[in-house]
Amino acid sequence: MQLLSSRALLVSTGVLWLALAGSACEAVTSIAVQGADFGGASADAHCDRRLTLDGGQPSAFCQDVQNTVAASQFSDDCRLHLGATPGPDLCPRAGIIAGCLLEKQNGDQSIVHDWYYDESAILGDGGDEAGPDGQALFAPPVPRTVAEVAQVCSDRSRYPDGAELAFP
Amino acid sequence: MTPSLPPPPAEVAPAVVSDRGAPTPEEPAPAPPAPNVISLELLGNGLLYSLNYVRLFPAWNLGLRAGASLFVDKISNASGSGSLVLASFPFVASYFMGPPRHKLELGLGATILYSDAASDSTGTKYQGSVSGLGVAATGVVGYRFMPVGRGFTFGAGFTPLLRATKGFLPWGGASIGYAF
Repeated sequence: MQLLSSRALLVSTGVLWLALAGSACEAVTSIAVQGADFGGASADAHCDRRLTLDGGQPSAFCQDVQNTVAASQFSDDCRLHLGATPGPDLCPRAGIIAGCLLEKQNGDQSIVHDWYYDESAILGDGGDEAGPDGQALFAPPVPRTVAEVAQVCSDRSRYPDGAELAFP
Repeated sequence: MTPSLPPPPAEVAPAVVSDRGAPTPEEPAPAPPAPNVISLELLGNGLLYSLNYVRLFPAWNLGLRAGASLFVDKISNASGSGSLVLASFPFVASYFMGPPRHKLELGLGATILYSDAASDSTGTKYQGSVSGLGVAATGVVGYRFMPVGRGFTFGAGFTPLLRATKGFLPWGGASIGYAF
């Protein structure tokens, strides 16, 4: 019994130290990022998922990140891992129905939006199956109204940390 | 008949007791710190860190500091991507007050900042609105331990920065150095 309680004490002390070390590491990172941002290291970037490379299936949204120190990493991830089209600054504003502001907290305090576009003109008469060989042109979801964008934002399988409806 | 009063006792100067216990008429003033200091400051007026040279003028309780720091980080792991470069050059004039070893430091100055944005693997640069060369006003209110003559010195304090494009940054720092 005594051995068990000693072990429990040891484990809980270890967990406490790990938690403290984790918090300290996060605090140091947050402070360093604040300093780097003040020095001019932050920038905006976007990843347009509507424009894909190498025949990948496009999506009906564009993601942008405001005030991040990791803009170049975001850009390379967009091109190399998602096959989409990155660029500096925020997503193009023309044709946006509405967007989702991601509630996930990033280490650099950056702000992330997914902006959904009105693609009805592109889909045309072919509807959702306007892609090659009658397949869907855009990967779902393809919201057409503000209410449908709001529904996408509240989908926890898409945004596990939550997201709220936003407008440009 | 009025009784005569006893004469007042002669005034005696108080003896100063030295550390060794033997009374001495006067303790010599402690030597001032050596005039040159090199120090490393974490955070502080140089933002992330800075290496500094301080020239002390003990007669006026003043110190003039010049520093530099360079931070380079390859933000993206992709091959061909470029690094973020952040350099800072703090210049601070400080006034020291208090007892010989334990000083309150009050300083004002400017920090020259330079940043060069990182680029992705295609060479596209991602730079913010304040990339390039800039200047921030800065100051220090803090504690500093000063050695008598040569020796280690250390301190910590509030070191805010103010930049027209970024506003006010409440900031702090801690430093350690050697006076010679």
